[in-house]
Amino acid sequence: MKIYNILKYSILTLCLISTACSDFAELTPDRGNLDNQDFVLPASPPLSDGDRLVIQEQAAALEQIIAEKQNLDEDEQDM
Amino acid sequence: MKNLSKYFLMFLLGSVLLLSTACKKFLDTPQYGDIIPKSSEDFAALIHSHLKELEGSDRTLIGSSRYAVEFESYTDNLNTNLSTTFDLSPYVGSDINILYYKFMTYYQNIKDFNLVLDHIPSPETALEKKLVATARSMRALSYFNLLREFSEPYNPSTAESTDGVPLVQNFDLEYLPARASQKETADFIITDLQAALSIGQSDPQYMFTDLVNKALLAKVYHWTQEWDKAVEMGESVLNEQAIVEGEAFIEQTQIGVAPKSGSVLIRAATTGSSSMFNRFKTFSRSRPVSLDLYALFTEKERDMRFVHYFDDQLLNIKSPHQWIRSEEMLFITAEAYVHKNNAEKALDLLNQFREKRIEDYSPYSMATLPQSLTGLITEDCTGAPLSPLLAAILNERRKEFFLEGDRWFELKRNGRPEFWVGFNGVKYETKAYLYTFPIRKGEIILNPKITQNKGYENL
Repeated sequence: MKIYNILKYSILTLCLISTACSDFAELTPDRGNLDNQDFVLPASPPLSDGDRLVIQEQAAALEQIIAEKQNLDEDEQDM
Repeated sequence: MKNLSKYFLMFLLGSVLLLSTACKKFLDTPQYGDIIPKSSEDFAALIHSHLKELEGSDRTLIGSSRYAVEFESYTDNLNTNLSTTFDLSPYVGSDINILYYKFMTYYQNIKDFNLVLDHIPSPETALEKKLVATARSMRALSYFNLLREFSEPYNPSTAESTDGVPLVQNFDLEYLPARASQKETADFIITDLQAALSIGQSDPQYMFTDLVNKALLAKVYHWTQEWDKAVEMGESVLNEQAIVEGEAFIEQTQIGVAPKSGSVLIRAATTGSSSMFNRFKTFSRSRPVSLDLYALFTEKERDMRFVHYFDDQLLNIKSPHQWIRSEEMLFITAEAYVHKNNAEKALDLLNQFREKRIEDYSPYSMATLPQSLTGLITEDCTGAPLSPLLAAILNERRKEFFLEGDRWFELKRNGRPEFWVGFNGVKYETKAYLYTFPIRKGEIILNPKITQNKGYENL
């Protein structure tokens, strides 16, 4: 009976303390809530066929420049 | 039973007492920032902690190799369409939820500078003068960065009615002001820099010397379109620190983590590890140089930048840095002369510069200036169509400051052009509003007087 009472009051005390602590914690500003509010930008669309064509043209132009530069280097080495 | 209850009651009371005491003790533990410095030596430690951060890998005040690469990746200088890896974000929108944290960091630093300035209102000793001058310079630079990043491009005719940033001038953690106007923000920055100059600062240990303060003033006048003063400050710096040429320039393009040298007036990452620098230099090679930037090098191999900026695959080989160097003063001065209707002087400066970068250089005349414009910028900072002379100056600036984090702000200053890039099958568009970063939502919750930047209100 004695042990039962001690246990009962101990549990009650712990409950009381934990409730008070959680109340106290709620009063403190939650930095997490302030920080985790990201901006959601409008979704970006997929590339259209026209867009892909522009990119392909750029890739071809880059390849041509690289090839010209390599040829120039080889010419210089030959000389 | 009675005794047991008594003991238990005592135990209970004791526990509660112990817990509350322990809590109080825990809560009373001084937190970071609670210890207020009192002596000049304490303030010196505070200022030196910020200078130490600059010597390391600064991410806010002057910038870093990381920001140089990241900001460049948002612009038209690197070709995102032809990216080979996912190391860099496709466009600025992808990083917008990281970039707004800079707002908070600037004000955390400003708090420390205010603390120094509040506690040394009239500096007397040599140490106090150095501390106050440095605090004013660093506060001015913090506000200048805030103005450039978190406020719309500066327009003198609307600056009094356009939002600048909140001005916190004293150490007061409870002070939550609304946003000042752009004009008030700019005036505050200029007052700080002039005050620093009036004290006089020549000790290189404090980094923000008189020469640096003049260069900062030139940058502020350039941003705010005060052309007479921009010329005055730009020329003043150029008279003391000439631009570099030849081998010295080549060396400057290849330098990593090292003390400032050549034409550099102030820079971060002067000591410490090179790992961050090397990492972002590697990242910068994940995209080739854009074709329109490549096309600006019309003199090809005769232009030393053409040889030392990128390799045969058009991938970057230049060291990425955000710093302030005297070449920027030349471009500020040349552009200011154009706006002062002194084309002759502007052209002369442009030719002087190009002669130092291009072998067998034939000077431009007004008649031989390139007539076709390339790149995104089609209007100047006043909204007028680009003249051939101003286009030549801006294009030369674009080439010179490749991978130095300059192009982003040049695009913002000159019309905020909208453009798209393709990345991993998706079309990302840099809209005009994205040139101004959003104010973190948490700041507005804490201080409802702060208004959000246009474009982000409902995002």
